[in-house]
Amino acid sequence: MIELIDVHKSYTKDKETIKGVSFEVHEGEIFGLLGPNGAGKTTLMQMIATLMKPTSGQILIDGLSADKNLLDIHRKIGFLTNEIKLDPMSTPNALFEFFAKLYDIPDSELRDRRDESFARFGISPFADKRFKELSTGMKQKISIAISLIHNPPVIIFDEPTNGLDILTSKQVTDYLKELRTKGHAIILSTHIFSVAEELCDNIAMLIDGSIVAQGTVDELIALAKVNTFEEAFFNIYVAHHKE
Amino acid sequence: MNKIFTVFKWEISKLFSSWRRTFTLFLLPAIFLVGMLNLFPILINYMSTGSLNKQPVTCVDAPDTFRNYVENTVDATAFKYEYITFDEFKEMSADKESYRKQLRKGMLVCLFFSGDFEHTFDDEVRAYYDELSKENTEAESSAIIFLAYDGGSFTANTRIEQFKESVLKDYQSSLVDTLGGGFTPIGSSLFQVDVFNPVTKFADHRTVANNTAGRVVAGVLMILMYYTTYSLVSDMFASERERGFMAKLIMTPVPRKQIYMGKILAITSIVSFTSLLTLGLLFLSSWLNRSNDAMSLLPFGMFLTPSELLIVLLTIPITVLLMTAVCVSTVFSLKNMEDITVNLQLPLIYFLGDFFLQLFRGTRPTTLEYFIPVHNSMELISETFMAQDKLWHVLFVYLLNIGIAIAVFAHTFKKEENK
Amino acid sequence: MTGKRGIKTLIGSFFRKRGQSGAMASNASFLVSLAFVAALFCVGVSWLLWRFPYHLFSDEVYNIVVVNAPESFVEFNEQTQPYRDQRAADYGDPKDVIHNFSNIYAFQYSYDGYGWTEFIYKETDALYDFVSFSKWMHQNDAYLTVVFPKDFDEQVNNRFNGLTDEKPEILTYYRADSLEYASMKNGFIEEYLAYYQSDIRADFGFKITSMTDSQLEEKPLVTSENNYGLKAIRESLSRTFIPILLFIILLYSSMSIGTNVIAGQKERGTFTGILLTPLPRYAIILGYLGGIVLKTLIPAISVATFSALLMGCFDIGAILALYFYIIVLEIFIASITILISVINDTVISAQTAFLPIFLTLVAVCVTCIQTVSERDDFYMFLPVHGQFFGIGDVLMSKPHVPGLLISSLATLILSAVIILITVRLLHSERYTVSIDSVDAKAVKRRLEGGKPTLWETVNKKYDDANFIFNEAIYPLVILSVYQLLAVIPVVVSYMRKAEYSAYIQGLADVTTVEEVMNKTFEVFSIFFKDPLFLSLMTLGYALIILTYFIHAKRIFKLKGFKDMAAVCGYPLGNIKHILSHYCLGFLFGFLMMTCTVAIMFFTGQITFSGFTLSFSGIGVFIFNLLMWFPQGASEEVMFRGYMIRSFNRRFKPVVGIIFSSLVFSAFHSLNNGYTPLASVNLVLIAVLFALIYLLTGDIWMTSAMHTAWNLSQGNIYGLQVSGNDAANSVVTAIYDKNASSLITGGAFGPEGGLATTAVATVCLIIVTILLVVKTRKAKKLS
Repeated sequence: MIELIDVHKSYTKDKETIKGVSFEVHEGEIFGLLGPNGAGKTTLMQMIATLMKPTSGQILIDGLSADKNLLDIHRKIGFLTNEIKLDPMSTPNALFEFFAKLYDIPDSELRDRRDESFARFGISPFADKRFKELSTGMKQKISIAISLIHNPPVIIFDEPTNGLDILTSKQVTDYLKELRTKGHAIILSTHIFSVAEELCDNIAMLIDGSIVAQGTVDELIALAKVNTFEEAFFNIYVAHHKE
Repeated sequence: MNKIFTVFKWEISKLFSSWRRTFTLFLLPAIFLVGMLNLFPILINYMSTGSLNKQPVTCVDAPDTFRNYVENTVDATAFKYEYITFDEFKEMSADKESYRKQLRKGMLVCLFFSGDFEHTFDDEVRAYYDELSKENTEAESSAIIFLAYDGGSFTANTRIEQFKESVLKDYQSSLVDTLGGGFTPIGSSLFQVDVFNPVTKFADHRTVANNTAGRVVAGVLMILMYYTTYSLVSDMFASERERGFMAKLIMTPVPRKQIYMGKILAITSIVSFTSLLTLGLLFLSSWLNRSNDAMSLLPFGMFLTPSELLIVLLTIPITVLLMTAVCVSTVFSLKNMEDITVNLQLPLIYFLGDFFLQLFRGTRPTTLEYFIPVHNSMELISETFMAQDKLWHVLFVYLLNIGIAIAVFAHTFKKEENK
Repeated sequence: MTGKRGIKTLIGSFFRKRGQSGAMASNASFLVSLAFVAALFCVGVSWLLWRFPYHLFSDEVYNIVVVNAPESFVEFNEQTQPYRDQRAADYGDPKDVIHNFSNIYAFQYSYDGYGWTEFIYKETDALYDFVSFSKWMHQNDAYLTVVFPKDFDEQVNNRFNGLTDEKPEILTYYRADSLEYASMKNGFIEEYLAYYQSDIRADFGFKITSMTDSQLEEKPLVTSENNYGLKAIRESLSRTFIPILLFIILLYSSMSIGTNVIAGQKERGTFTGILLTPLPRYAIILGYLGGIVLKTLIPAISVATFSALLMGCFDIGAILALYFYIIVLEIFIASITILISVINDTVISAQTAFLPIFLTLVAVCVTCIQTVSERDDFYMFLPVHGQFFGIGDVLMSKPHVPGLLISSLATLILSAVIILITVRLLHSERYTVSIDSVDAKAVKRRLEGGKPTLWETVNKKYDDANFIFNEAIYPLVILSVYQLLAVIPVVVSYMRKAEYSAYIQGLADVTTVEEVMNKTFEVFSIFFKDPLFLSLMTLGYALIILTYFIHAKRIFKLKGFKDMAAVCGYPLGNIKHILSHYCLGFLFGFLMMTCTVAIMFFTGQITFSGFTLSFSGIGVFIFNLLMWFPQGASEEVMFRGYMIRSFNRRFKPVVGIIFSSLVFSAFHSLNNGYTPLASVNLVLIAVLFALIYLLTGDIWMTSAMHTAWNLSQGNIYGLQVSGNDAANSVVTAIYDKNASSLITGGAFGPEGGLATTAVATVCLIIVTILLVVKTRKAKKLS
């Protein structure tokens, strides 16, 4: 579903932020992008989400490239970052309706989908409240619901459980698992090991703009020759990080 | 295309989602500007006279005919009168320094002089008509009305002009009827003109009011339009980008251009609506202002013919479109929110300057001015109020502004898509 | 971190972000600046331009239409023709721009347009028909129409022969396309008509044809020493322009920098981070203040230095004094900015809040300009005024030392107070963390279930008063707007009619309020016989109903048309119900009126004059009949259907009934022949209708009753409807010589008399009984 072929990105002339990344994410798979702050996770996610163009290399979503089929790709991906701030004066219902119209979802389908996702996340009682009256967790849940409004086959989540309490986190991770079984291709970036360990079928470690290791949790642990995933991460990081 | 409308509706509904937002955007600037326009003449008066009150006209040795005239004429009540004798006046003006000071404070002196100190002004005029009735073609009147005022003061000049036109001249022409007595054949003028002619009276009021409005209204509208445009652009474009909401919109399968166009459409229509509201308030303020004071910036009787109104109504959205284009291009070419604000605010100062320039220039626009975008809209509105609009001005200004707006948008979006 | 170091760090943060001190400029702002400079240049050029481009003038025309020209005027025009020909020859063809280019700069409007004027003669009896005049002017390239009365020469003759004292009146109309025509019109009256008058006098053999009874002479006095040349420029630059420029620079940069710090950080969510540092709150404020001041001073000081040098002020002491003034002023402005920034939570709202202060301070500057030459010393010691004058003084090399010290001290004390307030505010969570936090005391009181505070009560009462006021004023506004719109075309059509010219002329004598009132009623009674007015009013009433539907849609938040109609008292569902109620209502209304008339007839107040409906008046009669339908319906919607409904949302039903009845009565009180008894009757009728509304649940019946009542009153029995004379009735009631206006209501019509009181009271009693029965039944059922 998602295919990256030797992707490079530089913001300034003399420094490359992403130095040739390639990987593939298949249907029914959760792909984790793990790395320390400043490794280039967000840049990479934004490029996959077509918000930025790679300096060189190719990103294909379901075989489509952003240069030619930008809007088709938009129909196929759902993107969520934790940086979105919602307008304090609008309401979940209004926002849902707005995005449904933008995604061309018919009214009848919209109602079902809204009821379903509002029920799942417990948004219903707050559906007509203004965002300024809602809690951070609730806002994040609404953002997730809206990102997935068009039921996209490809889901790109940038730090989905950031700033959420354990209960809400669990709701989100459970939902992601369910989506995996439904055959969605999911790519998520995180720096929380437990999330990565629990969810991801395949993990890539991004350090200083390049992928230094890739595989399942067990493969990574074996590669680093340690007992836990956390230790594996530290070992790999120390081995590849240049001072 | 219907996606443009979806975005448009969303933006509009967002603005009406809280009454505070609606109020600050729609009514506050309009009310504020209209208030300022009504306050400004008071400031000018204060500036040139040092007092907030209007000084009465000091009438020296006013004859009975004048007092009667003032009492019985509606137009004359626009002024207040203070009657003193010649001796009192002599005493008052003996001290040159304090006399000058009083003049500087806005005193107008109207001195009635019969030519000598023996008899009164009325007697002199009556005697003149007596001579005329004896068919004495050599008869001459030495009656004279002196007007003394501060020649260096703008206010005093304006007020004396109004006093002369609306009071003294009518008074003089009434003299033949009141004092003409034996002057044959019937002792007065033969016919009268426009004693009761509501149409022409209205047109006369309009002439005064629209002349002032041409200097004032256009500038006010420009300031208001830019202020509203800039706050909306920084809310709908800059802040949304900052908050990450814009990315969310771009991620939808709607072409970027349509999203931007929806927002631009929303801005243009909201600002146009606000400006129309302000225009309505300006008209209301003009019609409520019954005094028709020479110093008023919105005198009574502002009026536009349907075609003129149409020109103004069309100029507003076109200008707003261009302003939006400039603001959007600024937002897209800069990253830092602080820079954007500074850059967006800068033109506000220009518009303030342009407003004052328009207020005091007193000349018609030169040809080159029709080529300066945005400024030409102001000149167009201004000359429309002064009923000097010409078709080619209108078409040229519209086409130029729309053309530039489209070019700026095209350039901005092209650059944005290539990021 | 100590306070001192914290302040330093915060100040440093203002300059650290980018290497440069100024902001980035976008291409667009650069181009806008360029456009402004170009505009400035053009305005400057326009002042120097003495040959003005001809193509910028609006179209000019010079001809004059003369309506009903008397022979003497035609003769006079012929006499003056050679003179005009001469001038036309001098100036050439008005359309030939190139050939006449040298004359253009000297171009001045004058009534004869350099001899290009031709007179066009027309005849009409309609002296106020400005529509036709305007058409004629456009057809003939004329700017002015001069309208003479038909028998002008005869009237003048009579005046000379002592037969009359009346002066003939000449009317003028000018085109609206250019404001210049107003002065051209005045020129024509003052010059050409004055010559014409002299000409008439000469024709009658008088030696004296013109007179000047008194002179007018203006004596503008020089009250203050004027400076000329360089000295004047220097004076106005350094006392006016440079101080204003410095003020604007300080205000503008403080605004853009200051609103971005705290308010901007709140918006971006980074302000909490600053609050969490171990910095004392005062240090945060001072740090930001210092940053704003220093950053603003960069442009301000450079401009100040540059202008001081330009003004030839090289004295180090003076320049230091200038800097001092600017610094103190900037501290003051910056502290205001910080205060506003703390109160607001977004950049935009902070800037909106700062705008009034910006303009106020600019206005203060404007007040400073006037007294430069002879200001009181007192102003030198005030904040803001002191700085403004001080800067001017320094630039003129006359520093005022005590003023400098005292005004600076006063300003700094003021700034300190503002800063203290700001620091206090920063301790309140309302301005730091949450925008919506409620007063803790109020929450506690609410939880304990205490009484509302005085403020809350006052607020509620104010709200109610506001609601009642709006409800009363809304119908008034709607009604006056639509009636005004209906009247305008009618007035224009009457001005175009020849037979009304004399009538309009007669309006000149109307001066007192009473006369104005009487004339208005007279005019309306004329209008009420006009099909145009009647049909426009019909349309207007229909539009009023529609407006109310839309109003209800907004207030009650409805979607469908049926709901809108239902809320206004017109449920549309059941056709049978509608028809039966409407027909019954019509019958009731007719019967009520008939009873009233019968009482008057049998008490000998009125008699009838046979069948008066003439064939010629049948058209107007039908228009009149048609008008009563929407008229009744619209009043019912306004005062019953909508008003009672909307009152019920807030108050008990009784309040709505009483209020709507009072307003209904008050609405009719401006009409002709109004008596106190009339208002009582109108209240009674209004209450009756309101009760019927309660009884039937809608206003179908009352609308029909209203219509039938008015219709039978005016157009069947020929009586006055609320003071309005109705035209064309089937029979005409004639008041008996001994009729008592107490019973008949006099000029107001039966609604002002006791006969109506009797009928209304009886009906009221019946309806009340019905209502009581209905409520009892309903109670029993439940």
